Amino acid sequence: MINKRAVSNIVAEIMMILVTLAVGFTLIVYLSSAAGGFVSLTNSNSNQAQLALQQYIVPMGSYISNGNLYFIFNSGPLGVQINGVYINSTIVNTCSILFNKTSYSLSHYIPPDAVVVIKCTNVKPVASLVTVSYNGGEVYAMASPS
Amino acid sequence: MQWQVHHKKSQSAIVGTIIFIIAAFIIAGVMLSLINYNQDVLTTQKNSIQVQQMASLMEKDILAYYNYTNNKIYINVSSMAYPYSYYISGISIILKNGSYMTFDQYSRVSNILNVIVKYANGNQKNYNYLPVSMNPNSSALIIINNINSNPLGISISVVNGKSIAVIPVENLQQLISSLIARGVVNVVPPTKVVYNKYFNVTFSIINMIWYQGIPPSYSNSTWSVSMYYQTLSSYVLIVGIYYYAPNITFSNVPSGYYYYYNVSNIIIPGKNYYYICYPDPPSGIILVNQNTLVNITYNCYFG
Repeated sequence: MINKRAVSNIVAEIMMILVTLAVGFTLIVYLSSAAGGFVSLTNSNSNQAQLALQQYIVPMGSYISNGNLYFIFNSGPLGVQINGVYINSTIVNTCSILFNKTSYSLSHYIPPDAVVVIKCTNVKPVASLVTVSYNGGEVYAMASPS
Repeated sequence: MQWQVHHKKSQSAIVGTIIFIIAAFIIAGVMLSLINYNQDVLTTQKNSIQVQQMASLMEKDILAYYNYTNNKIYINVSSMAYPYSYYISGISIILKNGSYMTFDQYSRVSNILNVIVKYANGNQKNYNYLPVSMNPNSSALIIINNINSNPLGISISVVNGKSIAVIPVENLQQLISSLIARGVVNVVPPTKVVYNKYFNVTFSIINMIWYQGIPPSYSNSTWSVSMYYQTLSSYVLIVGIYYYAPNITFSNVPSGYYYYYNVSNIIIPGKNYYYICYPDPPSGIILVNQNTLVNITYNCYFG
């Protein structure tokens, strides 16, 4: 009777260890997958945020002529979402984006590697600091009367 | 009674072991995921730094200048210092009359745009659209027709992968005037890594502008190049209408990284005409550590 119990205990312990290992491996696969999914989701969100932050524009020229301010830039490798224009730190609501022979109002997305013009009307003919805000940040340029 | 106590202890140990193993698996799973995440972040950071470095290189090593004549703008783009391929992706021109012109890949074919790319092997190819692919050591002449007003500012955008840089296009006449006024040309070296114990500077005459159809006929323009506490000089030799570019070689230069520079006197041979040389490529770092001969080319302009 005692012998039978002893054998049963050993088998039980072995079975318990096997079951533990099986549960452990299942857990690691599940956790890895779940955490991987979470990381992947985080990465995806993070990547989207990073992609937006990686948007950058490169100014190519700016000037003021006949009461209009022109700011010419390249839209960068990822394209860019233009949100607003400030002149001497004051937001301007008279600006439009000229791209591919079409005028768009702000805010507007521009595809990659485009040479684009922002035109603002009713601007004083004095040297001004232009700030363009976009999803990746801000860019500054001086515009002088031509 | 004692047996029962021992049995409980044994069960307790088994449960503890099981909990320990499961905890170890949980920690291992989380650690693996964190390692993967960290690697992704690191890769993103590396990519971002590479993009910035590439844009910085393009800004330094691609040179562009323009000349406006006969209602045409001639833009010369030279990239002899830039050792990678790239694209000319955009052109922006601000004119004195308040108007502007832009060209990019969305403009498609333009009747007034002509881009002539001269490749390192001497072949030429014409385009009337952007972007235009540029190989190392190639140069481009961009001609824009029907321009009825003086340009106030020109810039071109160049692209390599995710890196975009804007190259300001210098006014050739203003450049020449400023060089004459200063009488000095400061040269900063190219970026490409040069394996060279002997350092050879070659001046290449690639263009000449004669005054009222008369070529320059004097030959006493001294060009000096200083490097590693040595200064060597040479001359642009003019015999009749033939021009011989100067050539300067430094020998026994110790191994190492060098910034070198050139201080050159601009001589005006006569009041009717002058000539000027300025460096191409404009900037970079040179590594001297082997015995291969290397040429650094300067462009010389006559007017």
